[in-house]
Amino acid sequence: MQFKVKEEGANVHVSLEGQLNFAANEDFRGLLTQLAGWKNKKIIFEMSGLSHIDSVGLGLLYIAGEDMAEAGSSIMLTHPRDNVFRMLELTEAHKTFEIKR
Amino acid sequence: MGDGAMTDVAVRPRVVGAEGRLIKLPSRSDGWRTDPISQQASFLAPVVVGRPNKETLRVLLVEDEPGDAKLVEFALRMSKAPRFEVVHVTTLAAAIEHVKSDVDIDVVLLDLSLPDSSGISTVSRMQEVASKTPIVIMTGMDDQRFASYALEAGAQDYLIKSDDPEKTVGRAIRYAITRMASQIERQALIERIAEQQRHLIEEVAAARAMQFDLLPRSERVDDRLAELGLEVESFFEPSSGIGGDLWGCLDCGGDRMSFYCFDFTGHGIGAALNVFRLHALISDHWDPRQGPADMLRILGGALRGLLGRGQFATMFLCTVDCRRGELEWASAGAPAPLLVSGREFRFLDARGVPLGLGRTPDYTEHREPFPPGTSLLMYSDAITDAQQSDEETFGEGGLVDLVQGILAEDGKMSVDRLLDGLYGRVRMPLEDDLTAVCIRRLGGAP
Repeated sequence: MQFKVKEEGANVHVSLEGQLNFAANEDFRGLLTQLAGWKNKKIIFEMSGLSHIDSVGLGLLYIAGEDMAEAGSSIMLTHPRDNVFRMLELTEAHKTFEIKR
Repeated sequence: MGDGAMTDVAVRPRVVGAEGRLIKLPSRSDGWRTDPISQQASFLAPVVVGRPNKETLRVLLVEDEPGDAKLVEFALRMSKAPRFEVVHVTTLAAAIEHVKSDVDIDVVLLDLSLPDSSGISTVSRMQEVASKTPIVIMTGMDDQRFASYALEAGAQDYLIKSDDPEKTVGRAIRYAITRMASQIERQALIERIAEQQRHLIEEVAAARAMQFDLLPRSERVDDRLAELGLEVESFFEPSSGIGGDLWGCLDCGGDRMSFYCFDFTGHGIGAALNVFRLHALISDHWDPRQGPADMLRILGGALRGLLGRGQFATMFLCTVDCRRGELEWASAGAPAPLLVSGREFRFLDARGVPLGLGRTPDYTEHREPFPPGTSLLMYSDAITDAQQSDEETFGEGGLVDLVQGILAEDGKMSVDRLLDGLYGRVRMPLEDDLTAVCIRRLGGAP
């Protein structure tokens, strides 16, 4: 998985690419360290570049959700591909994250 | 404990500043398996003795040519640091006898053309009696190629007799001793690692057997399944010895039987420990009067707080009611099971927050007709997450194609056929734990 982070006003855009799974663990934790610098922001995860997410990847999103909530920020997941959206739908991720298709 | 004692405890005043608490004593070892490792370190002691930094090194010179022997002995006597003590013999038999007499030797200087032995076998016969003593081959100029064979056969260095022994013999001996020491150390390390690996494999095998023991056993469930007219075909394979999946069945009595399938994030030992947790929670909390949705809510609540960050389980729980011909289910984000009837099939609604993720999870109960002839396929995401290529996973699409093919051919859902098809279509080995369970209601027209 690769990611790019860009701050735009009250929002922080994070574009994710590749697969969000066990192999992405270390990269994702690097991303969280980077995001830890911001407080009270809307963190927008751009997911159109994400080809796959598995249960470990979903767990990473929840870890991010907890961390961001502690910093007064919230997470929005945008433009997931069909198979990624299917995983979010199946696990009712909309109860935790704002999701925009 | 009697009532009097209870009262005594109840009226005892609380001591200010000394409230009850949990005291955790720190570990007294440096970590897992460190003690056995340090015990094994004693194995290395003889290696240290063989180091070339001793003041005096004992040399066994095996040479039948008096001139060559004299030259070498002279060269060794010239050396002061280290000093060499030389024992000279002229045959291999005498050398072997000397070694067997328990006299410590630091190095053997060995001529390969002796009256009672010649060639490579001289080295191997010497090694048989002194496997940890370094050997330096002495060879004529013409024998260089032969000398390198001798190195391959186990000698540590060689000397060319025509070279000035004063310059070369001391170096060759020290080099041979150092080389032997590192060979022995390396061998000891390999043995130690192999021993630890054996130990780890034994531990995982024991844990794996325990995990397989959690699965339903034919001798316990067959009578009930026969009574209910249910056939259950299952496959369970952790990807690394033990894993984060499990399936099971729970007898509700009467005409009902419940089945579940769950899968924790990740795989391996950590996920397997969570499996034991959830299995114990199911045993504790299982109540056939509760519907699947309530059971999931109870289990989710019990599991939350026990799991590490980012850990959760997806779970599908259903009850087959054979009298009413109904299937009742709820799901906590499990891969959507397939309901199969004849050659038709569709995914069940399996939406739900995974166990351990939601603070106050709420699950929806669903009901479907489940008459004889229908079947239900539950499976773990190892199937849908299996990689077809770098970019593409098998997905629900792959599963649909595969099941369509199986039903078109056989008219019957089969886990065995499903696995055959899957293994032929995705990259092996699978990276996740795989569970697949098919519950078939027998008796009806397909």
